This record gives sequence, C-alpha cells and structure tokens, in this order.
Amino acid sequence: MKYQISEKGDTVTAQISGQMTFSDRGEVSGLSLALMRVNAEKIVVDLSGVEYIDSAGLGVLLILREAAQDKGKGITLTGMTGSAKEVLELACFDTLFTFA
Amino acid sequence: MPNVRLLIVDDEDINRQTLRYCLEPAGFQIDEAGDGAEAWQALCQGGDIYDAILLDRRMPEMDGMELLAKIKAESGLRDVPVIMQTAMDREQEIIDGIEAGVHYYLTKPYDVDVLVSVVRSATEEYARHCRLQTELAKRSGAIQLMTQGTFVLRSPKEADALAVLLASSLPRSSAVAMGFSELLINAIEHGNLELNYAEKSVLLAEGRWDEAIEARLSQEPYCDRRVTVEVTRTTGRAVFTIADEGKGFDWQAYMDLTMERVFDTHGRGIAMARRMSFSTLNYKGRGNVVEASVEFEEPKTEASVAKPSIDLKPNIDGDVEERLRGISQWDVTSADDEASGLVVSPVSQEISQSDENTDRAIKLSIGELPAATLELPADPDLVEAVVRCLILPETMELGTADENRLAPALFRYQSQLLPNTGVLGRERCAISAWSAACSSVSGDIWGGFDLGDGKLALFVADMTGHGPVAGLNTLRLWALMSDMDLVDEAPDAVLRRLDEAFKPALPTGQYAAMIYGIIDSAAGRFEYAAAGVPHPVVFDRAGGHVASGSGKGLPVGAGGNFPYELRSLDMPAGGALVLFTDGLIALLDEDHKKAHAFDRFLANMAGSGAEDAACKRLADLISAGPNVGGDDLTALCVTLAG
Repeated sequence: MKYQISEKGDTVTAQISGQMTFSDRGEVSGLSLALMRVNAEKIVVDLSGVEYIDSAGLGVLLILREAAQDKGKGITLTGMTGSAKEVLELACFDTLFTFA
Repeated sequence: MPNVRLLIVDDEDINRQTLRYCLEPAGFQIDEAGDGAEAWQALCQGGDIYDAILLDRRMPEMDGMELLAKIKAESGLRDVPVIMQTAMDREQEIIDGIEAGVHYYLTKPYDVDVLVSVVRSATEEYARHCRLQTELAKRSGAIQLMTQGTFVLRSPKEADALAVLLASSLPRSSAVAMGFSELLINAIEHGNLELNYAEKSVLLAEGRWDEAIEARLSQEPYCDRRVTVEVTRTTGRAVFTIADEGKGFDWQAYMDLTMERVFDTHGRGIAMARRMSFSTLNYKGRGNVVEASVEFEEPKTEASVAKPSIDLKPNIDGDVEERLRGISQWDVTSADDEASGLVVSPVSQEISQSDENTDRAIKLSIGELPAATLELPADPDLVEAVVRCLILPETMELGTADENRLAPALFRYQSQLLPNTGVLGRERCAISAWSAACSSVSGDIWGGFDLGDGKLALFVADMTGHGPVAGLNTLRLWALMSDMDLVDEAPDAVLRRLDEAFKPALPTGQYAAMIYGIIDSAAGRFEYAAAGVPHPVVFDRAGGHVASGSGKGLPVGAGGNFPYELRSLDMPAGGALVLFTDGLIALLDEDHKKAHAFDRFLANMAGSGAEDAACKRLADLISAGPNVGGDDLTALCVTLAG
C-alpha cells in the first residue's frame, strides 16, 4: 500500500494505491497522523488505485474512521473499483462511511 | 549577495539567457539546465548548493511538475524554494503548482524588477529557513518540560530566536520553526508596527524594508508595543497563543495562497504556516490574536510506558504460576482487590484444588467484558501465548522469538476446539471440513453444535489478520459461541450479540467476518445471518448448483449495533451446503478476481453426476491447489442425508 496526502480547499484527500492487506498494518498510524494533522473539514480516502483489499485492509479504514470520529469528522470513500468495491459492499462499509 | 546560487531550468535557450541577463547583475550566481533530467542530475550532484530553483513548467522529457515532484520527495531538496515560471492566465497550472508546494510564481514576459524581487524574497526565506535549522540543531529540546508559560518580545530578531526555541520541543521542528517565525514576525511588522501589505510591497521593491522596521521600532507609539506568546502544553498537544497590540488585519484573505496574490513578492507566510507547520491555525477577533496548535505523539519514556501487570489469584496451577512469575516483561501482583487489568484465576475453587493437573483450567479476564474472558487448560506455553497476545501483542508478531516458541501451543489448542466431524450431526448429515493456516496460527475458526430436533448450528469465521493475535480472537469467538443459548436465538440475534460483545473488547480494526446458521434437516432449510463473508452455496445431489445466498453484512465487532438480516436457503435431500472463508477464493484465484473465480468453481461443480459431488470437488480443489498463500482457509461441506 502506498499513499499520498493532498489538500484542496476544505478537503484533505488520501490517495491510496496498491494492495491494502495485513502487511500494511504498520502504515496505518503514519497515514492516520498525516490525515488528521491537516485542519480540513472533510476527509476523503480515494481508493481508485487500490487493486485488492483484505480484512486487515478494511481494519485500516476502521482505524482511520475512529481517528476522524475523535475529531468529530466522518470519512468519505471514493473511487472503489473491482474486487475492492466488492469487498467493501460485502462488508456493508457503506453503513460506516459515506460512499461517493 | 555572495554565494546565492540559482538553478535555471528551461528548455528555451533564449529564456535561460534572459533570466541570466536579469539576475546576474543583481548578484546571483547562475547554473542552467536545458530539461528536467539535466536539472535533476545537477541537483543530485550539487547537493544543497542551490538557494532557489527557477523552473519552467512546460518542457519536453521531464516537465516542470515531474521534476517538482522529485524535488519534493527528496529530503535534502524539498525545502529549496521553487519559483515556477508560468503565464498569468494559466490558473489551473498555478493551482496545481500550489498544491505541489510551489509558493513563488513568475510570469512571462519578465519584468526585471519583479523578477529580482521575487527571487530575492524566495532566497531570503530559504536563508532564514537554513539559519533556523542551524539554531534548531543547537537546542536541547528541554523547553518541552514547560507546560505553561508566557514570552514577551518586540523585534524580528527576538522573533526568530523564540521561533527556534518553541519549535525545538516539537516534532517536525524545522517546519514548525518557519511557521512560528512567520506568525511572530507578522505580529511585529503588521501588528505592532502597523506596516501594511501595500507599504511592504513598495518598501521591499525599494530595498528599504529593514530600514523601515528599525525606524518604527524606535518610534512612538510603536516602540512600547510588545508581542506576547502564551504556551500551554498537554499530552499530545501544544497550543500557542500569539497576541500583538496592533489594530488587527483582514486575516481571512491570507489563510490560503490565492490567485490574487500568487505573483506578489510577499504575503504567503500565513498560508504556508497553516499548511505546513501547524495542526490548526486560527486568527481571532480583529486579527491581532492567533492561536496555533501542534499535535504530536508523546515520546515513549520509561515513565510513560508503564510495564503491564497481571493479577494472579490464589490457587492457580503451579506450573502456570511459575511461568507467569518468571517473565520480566510484566509485573505480577497478588492483590485481592478488584484489578483493572488482566486477572488470572482458577476456573473454580473445586477444580483448582484437585490433584489432577490435566483437569485444571485457568481463567483469564479483563474487566467484566464477556469477550475478554477465556478459560484455558493449564498449559504454561498456551497461557503465556494468550497473555502475550492480550497485553504484549508486539511480542507475538509473526517471526519473533516468542512467537516461534509459543505459537505451536496456541495452534494445538485451536485445533482441539474444532468439532469432530465424525460425531457432529452424524444422524442427519455428513460434514467435511478443511482448515489451513497461512502462518503459525489460523485466523479462521469454525464450530458446530447439535441443537436437537434434527437441527445443527454451524459457524465459519475469519478474524482480521493472521497469526497469534488473530488466533486469540478465534478462541474468544469460540468461547462466546459456546456460552450462548443457541437453541432459542435466531441467527441474526446471535450475530447482534456477538457484535455487541466484540466491539468493546477488540481493538479497532479487528473483527470477525462470519456466517452463522442453523440447518433444519427436517424442513430442508438453512437459516442464517452473515457478516461480510463469501456467500453460502447449496448444491444438489449430483453437484449441480441450486442456489447461492448472500454473505453481506457488517463484520462482527466493527459496528456494535448492526441490524443483521435473517436469511434462508432451501436444501434438497441429499444436497450439500458449502460455507467457506475468502481464503478459498484466494486459492481459486491468486489475482483476487473474486467473482470470476467463484463462477468458474460453480461451473466446474455442476453436472458431475456423483452423489456427494460438492464435497469431492472441494476436497480435490483444496488438496490439488497451490499451498495456501496469503490467507487462512476454512471450508465446510455439509451433505444432508436422504
């Protein structure tokens, strides 16, 4: 998993690419800190570059969600395709995140 | 201007010559590069010799944006200011540049005065950055010991000294020092000394800015004005409130670098501080008070990382007690009062006093949470493994020495929990089960319970992750399932209860994707609820695909109050129900093209004509497939008698 953070207007976006799997669990605190330190109204996680996501990858999203909730914010997920989209839908993550 | 060196990157010879012609007389030393690749070579070889880079956006080969991305990704280069040359009307290009970290812009054709003044402004900012860096390197960081205090200052020189001191206690201190410097100098120049933006533009262009500052600093009423900085530091957050005695300003206009001011020589400091230096930055009232905060992770010290402790109750197994007391990574207490941490106790007084060690059991509990209580046989390796997973999970990460030593005990115990397929439900159905772990301990588990009246309860679960910690969570799930009254509760209610039990007990990001259901052999039906697993599938006697259910649902423990749906599938006599975790899909198709792989599997199952075909196909597939790769695998095939 690789990520890039960008900020535009009142939105901070994390663009994630590659596979989000168990081996990426070490990345989550860095990603979370990078996202939360930006004083933006909206947090968007762009998954358009994600080829595959497993249960631990979904766990990464849950950790980001909790960090955002601590700041009174929600997370919008965008750009899901292919098997990542299937996995997110199967796990009903639309009940925890805004899908856009 | 001694030794201020610029790198001019432009593919047009004439442009490079023009820039050289304008900038050399102003005292800048110039190097040139004709494209991005040549520039990158010069930057890599030249190290930190450049004080600014003048970059043309449009070039063949490596264009300006591509080179910019490389510069910003290189720690030794990312702070060197980049001055982008662009046309005035290319708004999107400028916005893209700001996003990528360009704060200075030049328009073509060049106005010599503006050109020199923008380049000077950028190189001076960089010189200040380097000066602050040098000062920062000398600081001890002892200021972090201050939790509250006030500083008072009046001159730009004092501002820089204080910026360095304040930043030295914080992570990313170089960026933070620049931010403080901007805010403090702004408070002095524009606040106390009341020099406005337009005046600054003129004074800078005339080279009289420093002179004007000095004059006002000794002039009534400005000479008596002070800037105060109040510092409040709590765990993980420091807040700095900077107040000046000026009239304030229209701060909203300066919070972002906008198109209107992008070609100006100054006025970008606040936007840069907000963007690059602080977690939050807010001006208050009329703009003479600004509050900036920095959030950070507290460094781990001996005092802040308290050693975990275990409360050992009396009469636990001697071998287990000896093992737990012999480990220096945690403290063992024997307090009788209520402990808030991990408590190890005998399962019951009666058992603990028995002489039969093999019958003895240990109870591990954390508070009253049902999902945080486990009963285990008194095997020292197993108990140590579970205790480590609970309170020192990092010591049980895959490949660590403790993991190598203890994981086999965890795996053995986990395997013992799996039902005996020769016994479970044998009057009404035949069960085949396959389990394979991709590491030392599986993160999958399955279980079954005879509910009487021809009803058989089954679950298949996949805990987040792999290895011992995921394995521990399978034990917790098994314990919770074993304690439930499954006869009277519908599958959707069972998942809701598990979700409620797991949510507070598991760390965020850990959960169970699972399916739980009841086969009613008399009614020929499978009633179930699912939590984010592959869909259950029913086959007929000949292996033909009859129906697929839905595995859709929020994983158990991820939400806490998800309304699981009760679903059902009809099962023909002699037909088979297949339940599995997504490890099977990984086995079917390593490229993770889920739907295709499973469709292919279904097509292969159909029409094989043999009784028990589904199970045979699965068995063939699992035994002939490549070794389990990235995921644990569990698959169940239950064939109804008849």
